[in-house]
This record gives sequence, C-alpha cells and structure tokens, in this order.
Amino acid sequence: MRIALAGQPNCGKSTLFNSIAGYKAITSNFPGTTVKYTETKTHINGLICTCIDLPGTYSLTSGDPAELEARRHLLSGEVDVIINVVDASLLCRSLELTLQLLELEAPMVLCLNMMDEAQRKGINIDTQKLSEILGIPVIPSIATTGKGLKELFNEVMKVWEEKKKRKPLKFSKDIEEIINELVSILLPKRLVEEKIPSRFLALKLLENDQFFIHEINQFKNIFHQVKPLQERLEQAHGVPSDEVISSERHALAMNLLNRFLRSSIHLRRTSASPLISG
Amino acid sequence: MTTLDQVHENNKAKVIVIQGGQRIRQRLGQMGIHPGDIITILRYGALRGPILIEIHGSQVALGRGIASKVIVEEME
Repeated sequence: MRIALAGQPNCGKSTLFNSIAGYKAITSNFPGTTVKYTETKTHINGLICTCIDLPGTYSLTSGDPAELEARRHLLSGEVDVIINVVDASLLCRSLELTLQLLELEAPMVLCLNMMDEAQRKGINIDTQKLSEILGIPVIPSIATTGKGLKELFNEVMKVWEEKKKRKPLKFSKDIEEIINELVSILLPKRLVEEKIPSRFLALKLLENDQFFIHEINQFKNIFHQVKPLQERLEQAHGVPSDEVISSERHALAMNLLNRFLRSSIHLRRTSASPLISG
Repeated sequence: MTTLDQVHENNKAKVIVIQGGQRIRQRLGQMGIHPGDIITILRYGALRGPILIEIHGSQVALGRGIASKVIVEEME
C-alpha cells in the first residue's frame, strides 16, 4: 500500500512524516522546505506500507516544479490512499486544495493538523460535520506531539480496505453543465491515461492548464471542442475561464466553512497588531 | 479605485479585479485573494519592501509589483 501526504506548504506534512518514519526529513517554519519527495516504509497493523512525503502545493493547477512533481505523483496511479494534511488554523485557504484533491476521486483521509494552533486562534471545528460534507474521514491531529496519528492511520487502513470512489463536490449548475458536456466529449475517447478521472481532466482543460492543454493538443478534434466551451464560460461570467473555476472553488470553500465552523474566528492580536491598533 | 499598494496602512480594501495574466491570478488565488475579497493592509515594508496584508484570517506578504496589479476599492 502506498500512502501519499499531500497538502499546502507549511502545514506539517514533513513533521507528520517524521513522527511515523523515525527519519529526520528537514522541517522548518517556512513554506517550501520540502522540494523533492521522500519515501519510507512503515508498519501499520502489521502491514508494510510505503509512505511518501510530497512537497507542498497550493493547488493542482500550477507550473511550479515542486508542485508539478507532487501532481505527477498523485496522478501516477501508484498512490493508494491520499492523506490530505491541512493546517486547521488556515482552513479557508486549505480547503480549496482539499476540493481539488477530491476531484481526483481517490481514497482520501483529511488530517486536520495543528489543532492546538487553531484552538489558540479561537477556531472551533465541527469535524463530524466536515466529514459528512466532504464524504471523507476527518481526523484532528497535532503532528509535533504525535496526537491523533494513531487514529489517522487506523482510518487510512479502513479507507484502503473499502476502496470506495470519492465523489467530488458539485459546482453551480451552469458550470456543472459545461463540465458534463466536456466530460461526454472526453469519455468515449479514453484520453491521456485511464488513471485520470474525466471530470478532473475536463476541469483542468476548462481552467486552461498548460500541461493538459498540451497533452490534448495531439487530438485536434477534441482540442477544437474545448475552446468554445471555455468561451461560453467566459461569456456567461465576464471573466477568463480559469478565474470562473477558481472563484467557484473559492466560493464553495467559503460556503462550506460557514457550515462547519462552530464559532466565528475572533479577531486575534498578533505581534504587530497591538502596535498598530493601539 | 486604486491599486493595493496605494491603500493606507490599517485600512480595509475590497478587491475589484486582478489586472494580470493567468499566472498572477492563479498565484493570488492560491493565497486566497480573489475578486470580491476584503483585505486588511497591516504594514508596508521599509524602502518599498513587501506589503503585509491580512486575508481570511491569515497574514500574507506581497511584493509591490504584484500588489500593484490588484485593483481595489478602499473602504473608509
């Protein structure tokens, strides 16, 4: 079984990795510490698993080499379970990546890391509710002290045994229509590789992702069908198609956030703010 | 309507549009900056240094170059 740790930069993937691997990958309090991926073998309930620590990615649409590396790995089909590590204190931003990972339709567990940090900030998360909305297990953890890791890997095992396909969350109706249209064009053609879900591919094409646009370029007849769909999105929303999708994802994340946050985020005082606000 | 690097310290601003190509929109989108969002400007770095802003409860530093591409509306 291969497990991949995916998440945004500086959310604690390597810290989590270290605590199960007994190996010291370099960690620091700066985004972008891990650039290449590291691998380790561990025992979980007597089963030998390979665990991969991927570099942090803000999204799955990107040209950054570290991010491409992570995405290539996630799409390679070698990964059995994805652990999406999320900084619980920065949920609003992290959820967008979670939504994108869900589009991969792979078995996944959400690990809400840095719960202590989140509590300090006054963020109270209804994990039960979050798990219901996303349709995946959600485990709170504190990677630096190792809290919640046991539950996390128990859940990983369960998810792996089930091998259930995950359903990505739906966008608004008009966008979903265009996605479905493109999916129905892509589906019979068995494009690129079978491992890539067709909805994911359709979204990436609509987002004008250079890598996938280049791949699809060899199939001229499909390539010509993508453009008019992009234009339809642009015309309906008045902004470029990639922005339509990214704002949609953002809106969805914000909407979800309101549904499972128990208390509102209190204005916290940072080191700088007392000086400024007086 | 002004650009993000023209807003006074401590003020809030609403993002109207991001004037730039796909890469800039993506980059800012990843940091949680989308049209319609409200940004608090916390501090300007000395000597045209980066701008510290707060968005959706997290702090982000932006260079002046990229900040000048964000068209905002200053709020009070």
